[in-house]
Amino acid sequence: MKTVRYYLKAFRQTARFEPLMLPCTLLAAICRGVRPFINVYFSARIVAELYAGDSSKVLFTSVGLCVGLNLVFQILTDWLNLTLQVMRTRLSQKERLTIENKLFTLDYAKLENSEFQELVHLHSESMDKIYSAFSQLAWMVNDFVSGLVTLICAVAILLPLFKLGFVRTGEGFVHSPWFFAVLVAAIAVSAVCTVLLTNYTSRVWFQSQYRYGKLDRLFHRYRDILSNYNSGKEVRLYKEQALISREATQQLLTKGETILRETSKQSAAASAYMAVIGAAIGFGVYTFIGVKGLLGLFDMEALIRYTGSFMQVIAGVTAIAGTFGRSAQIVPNLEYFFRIANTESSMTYGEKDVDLTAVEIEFKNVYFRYPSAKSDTLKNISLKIHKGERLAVVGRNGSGKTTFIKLLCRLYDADRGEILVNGVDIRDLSADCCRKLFSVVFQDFKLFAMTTADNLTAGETPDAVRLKQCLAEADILERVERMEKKENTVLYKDLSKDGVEVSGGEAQKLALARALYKDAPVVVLDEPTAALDPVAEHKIYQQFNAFVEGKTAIYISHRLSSCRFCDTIAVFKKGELVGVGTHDDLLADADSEYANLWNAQAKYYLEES
Amino acid sequence: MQRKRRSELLDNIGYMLKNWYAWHRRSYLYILARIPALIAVPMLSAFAPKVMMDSITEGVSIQTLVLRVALLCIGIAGASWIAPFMEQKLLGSSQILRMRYAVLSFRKTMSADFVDVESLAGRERLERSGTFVNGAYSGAQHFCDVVCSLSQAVFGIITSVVLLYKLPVFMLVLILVTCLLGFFLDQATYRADKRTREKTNPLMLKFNYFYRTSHEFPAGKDIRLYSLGDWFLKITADVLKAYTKIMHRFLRVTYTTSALQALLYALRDGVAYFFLIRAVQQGTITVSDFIFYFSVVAGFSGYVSQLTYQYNQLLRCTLECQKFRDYLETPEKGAQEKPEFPAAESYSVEFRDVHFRYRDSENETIKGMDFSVHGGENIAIVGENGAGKTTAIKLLCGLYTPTSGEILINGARADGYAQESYFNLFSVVFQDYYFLPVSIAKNVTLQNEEDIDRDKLWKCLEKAGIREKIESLPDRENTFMDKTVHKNAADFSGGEKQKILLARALYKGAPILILDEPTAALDPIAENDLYLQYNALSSGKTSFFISHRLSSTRFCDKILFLSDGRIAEFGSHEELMAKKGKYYQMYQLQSYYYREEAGQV
Repeated sequence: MKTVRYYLKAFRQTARFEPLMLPCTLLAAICRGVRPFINVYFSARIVAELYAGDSSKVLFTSVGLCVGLNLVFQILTDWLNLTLQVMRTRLSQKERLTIENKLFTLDYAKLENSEFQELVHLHSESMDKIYSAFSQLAWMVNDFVSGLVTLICAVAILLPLFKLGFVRTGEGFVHSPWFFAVLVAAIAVSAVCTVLLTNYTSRVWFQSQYRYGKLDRLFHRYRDILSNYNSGKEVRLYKEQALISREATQQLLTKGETILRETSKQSAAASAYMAVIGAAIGFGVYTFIGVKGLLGLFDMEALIRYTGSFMQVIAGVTAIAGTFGRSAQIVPNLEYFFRIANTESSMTYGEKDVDLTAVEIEFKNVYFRYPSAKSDTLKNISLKIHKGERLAVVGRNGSGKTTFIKLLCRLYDADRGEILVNGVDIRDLSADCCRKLFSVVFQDFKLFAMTTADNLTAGETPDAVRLKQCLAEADILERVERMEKKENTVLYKDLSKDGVEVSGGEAQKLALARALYKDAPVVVLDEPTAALDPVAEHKIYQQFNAFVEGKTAIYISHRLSSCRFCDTIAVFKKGELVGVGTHDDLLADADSEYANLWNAQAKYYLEES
Repeated sequence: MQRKRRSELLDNIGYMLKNWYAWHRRSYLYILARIPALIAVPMLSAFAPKVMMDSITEGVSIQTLVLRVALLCIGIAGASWIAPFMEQKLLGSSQILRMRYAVLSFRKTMSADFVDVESLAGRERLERSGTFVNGAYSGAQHFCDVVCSLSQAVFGIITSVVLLYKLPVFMLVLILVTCLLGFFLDQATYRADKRTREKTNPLMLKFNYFYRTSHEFPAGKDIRLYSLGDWFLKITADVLKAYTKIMHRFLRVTYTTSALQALLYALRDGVAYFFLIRAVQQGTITVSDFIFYFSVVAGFSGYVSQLTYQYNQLLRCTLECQKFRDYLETPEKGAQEKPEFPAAESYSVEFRDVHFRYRDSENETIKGMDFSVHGGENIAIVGENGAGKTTAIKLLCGLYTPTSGEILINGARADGYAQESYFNLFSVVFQDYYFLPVSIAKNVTLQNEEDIDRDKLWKCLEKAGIREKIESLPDRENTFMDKTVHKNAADFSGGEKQKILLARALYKGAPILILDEPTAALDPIAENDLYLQYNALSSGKTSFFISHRLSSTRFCDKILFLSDGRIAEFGSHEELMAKKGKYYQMYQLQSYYYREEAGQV
């Protein structure tokens, strides 16, 4: 039932993706199903005409018709198949695009949900296996319908035999109606057997693919690790070759090879049974047709038609049976697809806009807990960030600093309490306004395989002067100017051979430039100097004041020296705000968290002075 | 050029056949059995109506009829048993062959010289070689099928022609000519296909890039805050539009070639039937022969297109094979028989005018380095980004060989000794890290299960400051790492991962300890903890500590200040501060904000 429901949904979706897909598939399937009967029909007819000694004119008309019809069907099926091939690719692309669309536009909170991520992971994994559920389904329909059409045509042609079958034509078993009854029963049984066997083989195949896939995935993981050239250092220095070789390949070479051998043996045996069943049935049918033919109960034309059609019965049944096994793979993929496609954002936006020239933010008793987490990540946070204030956020790893930022940027909503922007609840702001509020450089920022200009401007036409200015402020202009096409050089090698690889420090500076270019009223920098040397770090510090001029700025860093040029410092500890104040205020209490953090780092620099 | 390509083609076919013979020679027999069966099935099926007609025309007894039909069906049963049976067996062996090739390339990646692994050219070689072993349609696996289908087509055509011997010679010539023309039409289609692919490949690369990017969840933050999602979706939609346009052009070409081909085959069939009917009318063949030949002629076009298709597949396989061999046959310095590096109490390090230039680069990264470090000294290496700190370390470890100059450990050059034993001297924690998809214990010890020294393991975890965390895990040290493979794998933060790596370096216990930016992901307290423990960790060892945080220099004996590939300054903190040179300046820069007088800027 579930299968049928998903198939219906999938057909509707297919029609939406590619309206001509299903009609073309059906047409192609019918052509494919009918096609063999052209030769069956005409070869029989020509034989009859040859026996009758008909004139060459009659004969050549038949030949002409036969060849002509074949030509038409050939061209039609070729064209349909070529078109379908393109449609299948497009279908799979649109399938991917739908998922991509969802992942790009869904609430970040939903995206980061581990259950949702697991779903996406399952979907990708099954896509790797079957490429595209929708185009597989179209294939399946094609096979099923053409098999069905063939079967129907064949049975229609063989129908007169049924009448003959139930008439006793002489002494002996082969003449009795029982023979025919046994024959029909045997065909029915064999059809069922074929279906069962095909199902069995595909199940065996899936199982072994699953078992082998597990080994193979492991092997591929090792290959990925090794293909990343960075890993080569450790592999050599720590002599990991023996361990890796053993963990990665030994199982594959022994257990994996056995699985492959066994599977091929099993499915070979199954397909061989089908051959024998087919031949045994063939023997019965040919005998039956022969016996009746010997009695002259039908002419040569009918004889050829019957023998030819009978072969098609077997072909039809096999084609239909083959489709059943495939649905086991398609249905789960469809399920994942629709579950992802039907996941909706739950964050709502209001209509309000705030003055973007001066922004004040207030956290009021904010609590937050990640879904599936056992305790709150943020507890009762109340904090006011004034217009133009520079706030440093410090704390140990895991104290909730980054979560604080995520709430601030409205990637998440607070569970309790409220966040006010210029006195307006952040949930009442328009989506557009929310986006314009923040320029953020996250710790795990990401630059994309596009030009520097595109990375900074997000595809807008760049303001050349400001672009340069931002690059200069982030101290990366010189590097960009050194690139072959300057700011129009593509970054990374993913999409272009001429792409430029940038180092971690350079990437960090580019991300900073991106944040500057956006020119939002609130600037958030999460560990922006972690990959930078002291000189570069100092430059950024010095320019910091210039580029956050008039803006509200929030700064997270493990290098506490950065606190010194911030107006206020917020200290986090285990999800709680344990101190807010200036450097001197906070340091006044020698046992405070801030003092601990500061002294741990500063003592190495202070002994000198 | 043409000749060279042909010899390369044959050479690669030979290579694949040879490996096939070595790894799974039994499957040659499968092919030998499968080809006749494949050809026999349609022939025997075509033969069936003839047998029936002949029997009825002759008016044979029922026994004779049954006997004939039985013989025929046994033939069909046999052939249609063998064909799919062998197909499945071959599928298994072709998977085995692909796996073996994949393992070969895997081993090569582990044994190749590091420079080859890291260099752009080497990485490209590896990437190109991948097409040969990745996926069911890769050359390594597909080759078996191609060999089989190609032979089937060739022998099918030959058999058909032989069976049609009763047709006039002129007719056979016509059939062969249409085959040839069909072959050329097919080739035209493949060329168009190749051209189209060259155009669509960059598009698909782009499409896949954005699809992949959408699956990188952390990037979702930037995508949302910088409103990139809609733009990316627009790019992707444009890519699809461009793709469709190209494919429509391609379709127009293939519509034409396929129609031409259909016409050609219709012409051939028409002429063949004409001659067959003439032959019947003249009494050269019987009506029942006619029906048999009719089927044989009809089966012809199938063989011809199969031939062209498989020929092109063969070319593809050999091309992929060539790329694979380019990678596999990259020369290695090789593990020559050399003596072990002599063991000592402590190890001194000396650089003598060391220069180094990356293979792909025009400029030297290391421009002449001279320094010497006594055994047991703790050295801090500092300098700006790109000053050559990591490169110097890689040179020291023997991962790179200096372009000129020499590196001496206890006065001995590395290249005089077995590389393995030289590597034994170093415990290194690099900045970029990865973990194997095995247990934590194995990741730290890099030993097989039975060889792990548990006591030592726990001691090292303790020293690295990660023992508590590991003890809190449900499977403790046997917990798996790497979530992409093991669902129950443990998650670690960046700082914790660095501590596990430190434990690995300690477990190895090599006499020279090198830490590259071990504190980058640590908070101030964790950083301080590491500093406090550092002397205990490095006691009795020669150690190098690379860091951007200059506080690290305070517990090291000497500071090596690198600038632009050279040693700018070398000495103790006090010496360098007194010198008031580059180090002094940098130290002032970083300590500025920590000092009392800094106050508000």
